[in-house]
This record gives sequence, C-alpha cells and structure tokens, in this order.
Amino acid sequence: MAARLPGLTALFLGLVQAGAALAAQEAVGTGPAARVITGETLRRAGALHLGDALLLAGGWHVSTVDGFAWDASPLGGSPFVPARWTVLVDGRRMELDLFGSSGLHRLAVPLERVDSVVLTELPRLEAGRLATHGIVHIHTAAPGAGASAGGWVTTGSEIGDPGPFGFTPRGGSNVDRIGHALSASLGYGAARWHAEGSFTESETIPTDPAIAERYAAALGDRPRLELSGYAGRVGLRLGGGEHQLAARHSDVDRAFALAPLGAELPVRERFTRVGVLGRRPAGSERELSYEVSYSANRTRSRGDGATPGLDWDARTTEARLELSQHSSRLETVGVSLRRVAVHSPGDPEDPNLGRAAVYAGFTLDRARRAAGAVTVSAGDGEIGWAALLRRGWALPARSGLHAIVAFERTPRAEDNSVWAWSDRGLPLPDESGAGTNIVSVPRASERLTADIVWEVSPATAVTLTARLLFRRERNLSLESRRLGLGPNGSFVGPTTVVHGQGGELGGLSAEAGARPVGPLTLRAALWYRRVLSGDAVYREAWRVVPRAGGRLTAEYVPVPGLELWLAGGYRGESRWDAYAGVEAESGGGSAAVVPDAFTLDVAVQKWLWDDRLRAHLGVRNLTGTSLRYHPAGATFEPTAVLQVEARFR
Amino acid sequence: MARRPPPRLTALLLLALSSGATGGVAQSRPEPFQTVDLRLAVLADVSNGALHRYWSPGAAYGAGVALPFYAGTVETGAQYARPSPRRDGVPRFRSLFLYAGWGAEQKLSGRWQAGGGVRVGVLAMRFDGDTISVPSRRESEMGLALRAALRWMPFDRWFTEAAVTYQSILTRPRTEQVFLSLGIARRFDTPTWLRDFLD
Repeated sequence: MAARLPGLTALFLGLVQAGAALAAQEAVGTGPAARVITGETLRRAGALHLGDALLLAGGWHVSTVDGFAWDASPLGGSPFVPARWTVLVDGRRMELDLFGSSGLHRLAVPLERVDSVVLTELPRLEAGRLATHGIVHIHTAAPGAGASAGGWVTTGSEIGDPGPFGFTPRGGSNVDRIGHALSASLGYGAARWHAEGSFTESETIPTDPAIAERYAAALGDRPRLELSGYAGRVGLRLGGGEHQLAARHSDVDRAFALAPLGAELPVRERFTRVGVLGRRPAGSERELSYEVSYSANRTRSRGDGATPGLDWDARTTEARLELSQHSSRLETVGVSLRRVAVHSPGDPEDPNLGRAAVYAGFTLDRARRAAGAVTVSAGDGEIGWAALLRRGWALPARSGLHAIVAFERTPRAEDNSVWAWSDRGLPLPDESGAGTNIVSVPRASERLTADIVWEVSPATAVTLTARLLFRRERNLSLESRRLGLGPNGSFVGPTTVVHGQGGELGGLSAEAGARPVGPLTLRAALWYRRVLSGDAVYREAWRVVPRAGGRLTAEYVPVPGLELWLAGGYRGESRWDAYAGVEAESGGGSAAVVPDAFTLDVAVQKWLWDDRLRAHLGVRNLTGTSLRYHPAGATFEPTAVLQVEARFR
Repeated sequence: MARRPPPRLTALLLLALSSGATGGVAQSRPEPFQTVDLRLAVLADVSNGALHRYWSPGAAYGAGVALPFYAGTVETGAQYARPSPRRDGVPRFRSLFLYAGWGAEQKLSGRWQAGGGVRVGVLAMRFDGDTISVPSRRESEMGLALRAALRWMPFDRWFTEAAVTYQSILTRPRTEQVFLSLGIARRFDTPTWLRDFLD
C-alpha cells in the first residue's frame, strides 16, 4: 500500500497531478477496434516480455501464475480453453496453440525488434480466417539501409526482501529476483533485399512463496523458467512483388500446468515455424498473395519418470492463396489448406486432421460504408462457417458510429484442447489418474457477436470512444474443477468437462486519448463486462475474469532523449470456485477470491550517444499493492527494472 | 494501517524540490552536460534504526560525478561501507550503493551555495561467512536517498561540501540511515566526446 513507500509516493504524486492537468488540454486517442502499442511505448514502459503489450493495451484480460507464461483474451473474447485469439507476426499466423493455450513467450520475438503490436478486438478477416476472438499482430521492424545491429538487456529485482535482516532472528530469505532477458540482432538492408537474424534468451526465477514449493518439486532445487529463441528472415523484391522467407525456433524449459495432470510438470516446449509469404501484382487492379508454412509444436517431459509424461508432437502444414481486387466489390477471395499431424507416445495411431477453407471479403456499397466477410471450412467430418457484416455512419460534430455483427460455427477440428485430443483417442488425460468426468457430448461451438462503436473527436488531437458489445455462445466445452491440497503445495481434484455449455455476455468500454503539446501522450480506458445469462459452468468460468478494469498511461518527453513513463491500472476482483476447497483446507491460503488491485508503474529513460544507447530505470507496482492474477499464482510485489539497449547502424 | 512519512524525509523532500524549482531561474546556469564535478566524500551514519541493532555501520566512502542537466543537475556515483556485527550470529558484510540522481542548486551569497536532490539506486551486499551458502552471499535491493548540501566554493574549480543524506533501502524491514558527510570536489569542463555521448 501507499504507506509502504511513503517517500516515493510523495515524490510521484506531483507527476500524477501534472498528468491529470495536461489531460484536460487536448490530443489523440486510440479506438477500441485496434489498439496500437508501439515499440517506443514498450521501451518507455520497460517491457519485460511480449505479454506486457497486452497489459499496456488495456481491455485485454491477462492472467499468469508465474509471470513467465501469460494467458490473454480481449474484451468480448473468450477466456476459455482452447484460446481462440489469433497471433500474427508480420502477417504470418502463428500456430502457437499447445493444448488449447497460446503463450506469446514461445514466439521468442526480441522486444528490441518490435515496431508495434496491434491488438484488434472486433471481428475481422485476417490471414485467411475470420477472427472473432481478437487478434494480436506483432509487427517487427525491417532492417534499414546498410548493416545494423542491436541488443537489449533487462534485469530487475522485487523490492522487500530482508537483505541483511535475513541473517537476524527476524529471518526471511533473499530470493525474489525476476531474472533477466536479453536479445541481439543483426540485419542488412539493400535496395532489393534485406536479411535479419535475432537471438533472444531469458530466465525467470520462480521463488515467490506461493509457487516456490510446487515449482521446486517440478523443476528441482534450483528452479528456473528459461527461454531461448532464434529467428531469421530474408526478404526479396522481385518481379514487382515482395517475397519473404522467415523462420523461428524457441526452446522453453518450464513447469507446465495441465488440468488433468493435477500439478505443474517439468517440460521442454519447442516451437518451430518456417514459412514463405509473398505477394505480386496480377494486373493493374489485382494482387496475388500466398503463404506456405510448416510449424512444429512439441513438448518433452524433463521429469524423472515419477510424474506423468507430457510428450507431444504436433506438426501443422498450411498453404494459402489469396486474390485482392482494389476496385471491386469482391475485395478478397482466398483458399487455404491445412493439415495437423500429431504424435504422442502410447498412441496406437497418430491422428491427422485436415481442413480446407475458402473465404471472401466484400463491400456492399460503392462508398464502402457497408462491408462483410465470409469463410467456409470443412474438416474432421464437420462444416464450419463464419460471417461478418459491418456498417458505418458519419455523424455530425466529427463523430461516427460503427455496427459490427458476426457469427461463427467452429468445427471440432479447430479444437486443440487436451479434451478434444482425448476424444480423438489419445490417452493423455487418463495417465495421471487425477480423475475426469465427461458430461454430454461435444459439438461444434457457435458464437454470435454484436458491437456498436461510437467515436468522436471533440477537439484537435482528442479522441473519445465508447463501445457496447454482446456475445452469445453455444456448445462450449468447459472445465469445472474442485481442488484440494496435494503434495508439495500442489492441488488435486477431479475435473469435469461439461460439453454443450453456453450463455450471453454483455460489456462496454470507454476510452480517451490525447496527444497535446508534442511531448505528452495520454491514454485512458475503462471497461466492464458481465454474464447476462447462461449455464452454471459458463457462469463459473467467467467468474475468474475480473468484471471491470481501467488503465491510464502517460508518456512525457520533456527534451529529446529524456523520456518519462507513468501507468496506473485497476484490475477488478475475480472468483475461482475451483479453489474454495483449497482455501478452507489451508486456512485462507490460495484464497478463492483474488482481490482487486490498483497499481502504479513509473519509469525514466535516457537515450545517449545520438540514440545509440538507452538506459532505463523503472519501478513496477510502486505503491505495493498485493497484485495477483491467479489464486495459486505469484504475488507481484514492487519491482525495480533496469534495462539497457544498444543499436547501431 | 497507513504510515505517515517520517518528518525528516518530508523536510528533505521539500528542500530538494523547492531548490529545484528555483535553481534554474535565480542564476545563469551552464548548458546541459557542459561541466562535470568529480566528488569524494566521507560519511558518518548518525541514525539508530533497525540495522544498528545488529550492525555497527562504520564510516562510508563516496565517489561520484555530477553534471548540469536540462533542469537542475544529474549525478551518478557509488557509496561503500563495511558494517561490522554487534551480535553473534550475524555476518559482517560489505555494501555498495550504486545510484543515479537528480538535484538542484541555489546560490546563497558570496561563495556559498545550497543544494538538494534525490538519488535512486541499488544497494549490492556481500555477506562474509563460511556457513552462508554461496547463492545467499550476494543480495541487492533498491534504495533511494534524499540529500541536502551546503557548499563553499573558495576557488573557481575546487569546492567543499557538507551534506545530510537520508537513505532508505527497501528491505523488509526498511534499512533507514541518516548520513552526515564532508567532501571535496573539482569541476572540469566536459570533454566534447562525452557531451556528444550524453546529449
């Protein structure tokens, strides 16, 4: 709380007041449809990992147990497994889905190479899919002309260890370091081609008391969550078109939590992706684009054999061809083919899944005020389809209204959750003996979305946005668990998978943005969501997501090269019924209610040597709020962050 | 329950901020990074807090540089100490406070000048003792300090400085110390390459 850091609180009170006063002046904003987090903002915020972009955006629900792997879903998205949000890197869709979760950490994108992260919440046709659950699109910076090199190192420490008092009768241990992250890149740009390679590595030390025992049981006496990754790309301009070969690979050693297995298991995750993406003119008004990719998503057990195995190998091959017509009402047509082959030990036959899809994007009037998109896919013996309609109206007083309606029927072939693979014959969930009950039978899920967005710019460089949303979902497969205390701080209890769940969700958000005088940028956002009606498990699943949240960020550049950052956030309370038994058994530990939290982050950075070097110092959760995302997860105490970056051209 | 800031902290903070608010107006100031002050100081801990129940802090030694900034001055430096145990069972340790800071100065009269500022840094500690496991021998914690100084400048380039510094290392419990210091400093013109680097 504020009382824990009275000196710092007093010091930065002045900054907060200054920010509030400037907010009353003028400026620019961000809309809810696409939030853009620039690399510049990531630097000023002292971002530690890609998940920080989701935190900075506001409106996205994020959750983590250990601060290393982050789950996310946008306002109006779905927090359920499997995660259905789409992840793109430079226009390429990443097959990150591993047992239904999409961890951005496996991308191993060096933060120093991020040009921007665009977060789209409204339904949209993107990379051959109609995404109704949100899109995270990471744009990396292409190498400039000539040779370039860069590097970035981040480290930090949680504040509040005993220090020397750990050796006194007061006790305590000095353990809460957050590890480090570093990355480096080399690039070369010429008139007709460019090439780039990067390396990233990080280590997180899971010593928070809430997770230390479990992680030590899984990872040994010196638990570490480690990531190393490599990426490279070569781009070529040829025949009036652009073509790019890109490859990336990451190795992640961590503790992986999977519901039917009861506890965190030591695994090595390996993600590899190789792909070619290109486009070339096909006549004066048309453009042909293509993509061929191969992805491998693997896990390998690192345990001693005493714990259930988690060996898994999923390989995805995908090809896509798309024709764009700029002056036609049929703007885009495309076809994609996808094959997923899975291998797991003990599986008598490796299942393959094939999926074929066609898609189109179109406008309904010459002024392009009304538009739509449709996709039809077939796979796993089912037909899936999705459709989108969008209409915009220009209103007086520099305002506009947009209405977007979408429907999606997702075939089971899209479900990569462990339960779906169990249905397909893989024995994985049964090995642990944790106990699983299946209720009802799985069917293709359906989702109806409706959004109304109103935007107004009341003054130069000031934008206000309000959004109303409605979601109706049917035939979801949801987990319900009732846990008790297990060995080594773990939690055990049977899992019930209930198919055919559904309900209705409503929500609203309001945002304001301002870029007044050049050096100051302010953004504020508030959001609220609530289940309107639904089945019991649907309601329970949504209770783990805070109903309300808010975020205020201020970036201030008083003189070129000196940059100040301030971010305030509010995260509402969440309730985890699965942990009610744990709370009762432990006398209040791992409480089923994760309390709401107000946080304040501050940072200052200075560019040196004509912007070749950057030194950054920040403090996260300055006021010392008890910030947690999960009842069984770490508490994020005040943390000092040091960051140094070098870049040369 | 909310805890009020210590009165000495509030007073030092007010001095630092008020001198910062007026320092750039009352006198013509050098260009950013135009000069660099090299400072050496000896510090004596005159407080009696949680740390002092277990350790005798001994003298501390500081070295640092300060340069004019766009407003006020920026500084960086290090402060070394070697507290010795007052009780059995606690180890002797060495500490090094590495800091960066911002401050401001106000000319008083003649060759006298007052100043104040804030420092943020990391206190790196190394504990002695064969019974302490290797991973536990090193620890670092963030800290901050507020400082008020009185400066006498008898010559153009040389000056002496007496200061009082409140330093709080964010351990649990907090390691709070108040230092009185005496120092000597020399002002240099910043080499062009260094100005280009910093600006």
